[in-house]
Amino acid sequence: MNKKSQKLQTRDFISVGIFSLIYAAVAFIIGGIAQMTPITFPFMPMIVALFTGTVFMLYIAKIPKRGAITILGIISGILLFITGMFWMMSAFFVVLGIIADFICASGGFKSFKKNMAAYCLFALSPMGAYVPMAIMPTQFDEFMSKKGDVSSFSSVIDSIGANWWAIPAMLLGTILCAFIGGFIGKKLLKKHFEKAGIV
Amino acid sequence: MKIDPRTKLLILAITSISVFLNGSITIECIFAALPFLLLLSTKKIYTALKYAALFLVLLAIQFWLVPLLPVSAGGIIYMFAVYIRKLIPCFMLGSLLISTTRVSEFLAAVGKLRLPKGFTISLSITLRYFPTMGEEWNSIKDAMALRGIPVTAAGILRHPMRTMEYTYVPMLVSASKISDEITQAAITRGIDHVQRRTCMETVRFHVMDMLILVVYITVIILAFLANGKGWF
Repeated sequence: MNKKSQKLQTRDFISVGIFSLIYAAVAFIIGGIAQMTPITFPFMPMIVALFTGTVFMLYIAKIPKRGAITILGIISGILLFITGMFWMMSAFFVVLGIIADFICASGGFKSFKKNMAAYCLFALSPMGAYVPMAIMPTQFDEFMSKKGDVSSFSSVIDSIGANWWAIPAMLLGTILCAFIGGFIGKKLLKKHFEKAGIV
Repeated sequence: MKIDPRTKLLILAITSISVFLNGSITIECIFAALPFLLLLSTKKIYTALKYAALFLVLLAIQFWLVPLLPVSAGGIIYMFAVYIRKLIPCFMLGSLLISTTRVSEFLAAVGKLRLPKGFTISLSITLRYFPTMGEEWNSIKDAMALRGIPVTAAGILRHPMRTMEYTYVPMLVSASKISDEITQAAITRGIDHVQRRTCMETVRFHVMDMLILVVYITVIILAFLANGKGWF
């Protein structure tokens, strides 16, 4: 490959725009449904991680260039911020997007292991909505109470803040689910997209 | 009446931040009423009425239905109703931005913000793809229903993997194809040109933009007063 095709071209920016929207929409819809009930509330990042794997894997396969995942993180962050997520979540999307970009680039976007590692990291972004519960509970309580009455959620939120193992357990669970989601993505990619000549 | 795309972006940002920081229902109604009027003034009457009706229904649920229900179920419905209702002003402004802004106009306006060109292109394509994604989703749902695969909550819970595969694959394949088509169209129209882009329409702030911004700043000040001093 010559040097020019390693950089993002106009056609890549257009794909980035479309797939970022799909990624954010899936995260928003699945995450929104998961956050509606107190029981599934703590499992939101895991459920999202299961579903976004396919989009992420196709995204890397289609645009294997440096910078693509960074823009994915920025646009998803903006879209999710506008739709009322806690600002830490958008910050997580941007920061983890940049790091995931580096990991993928170090594997030349071809190494499945590196891509998987990058996805497991990037899938932690929705955790940005939960980490504040432990780090700055008062600020988060204020945000949630402005959002609406959270009486049936407060016990769940408090227990996440009170138990030291809650956040690490959620991180581990999310990584595990991201792993499964990534494998589903790889399988679908093989089964459908490579045959159809999309990738 | 024309509003600068930058004004639309700015009021969308203002609304999405302040709606979730604001506890007063009066202020929230103002935040919903402003985009409603803007939508009416751009003759998107059907969209405006649809969102207004949804807003009122959710407001009614909060006031009349929730007190009748037991606490746990009431809490969930309350959360749902309030959360969706707070998103309605953002959705209205979003649909105003998407339906009344052409991509070229958006590119010209955002280009003036001196962001990197690639990022500008990605962002405008994201906006442009919103309605298309809705159309694609409806066609996929129709096609699935035709083959006897219902896209309902029960169906999704019974066959999560199958439903995921059947919705994702057509969605992503069509997204790939559309992205190629947009690329061809954009390159034909010279998006790769290195010099500064010019635009047929002059994109600049008008009196209307000033007016809208003044109104929004007033509402923010009111929201601050409502939060701090317990007015309204």
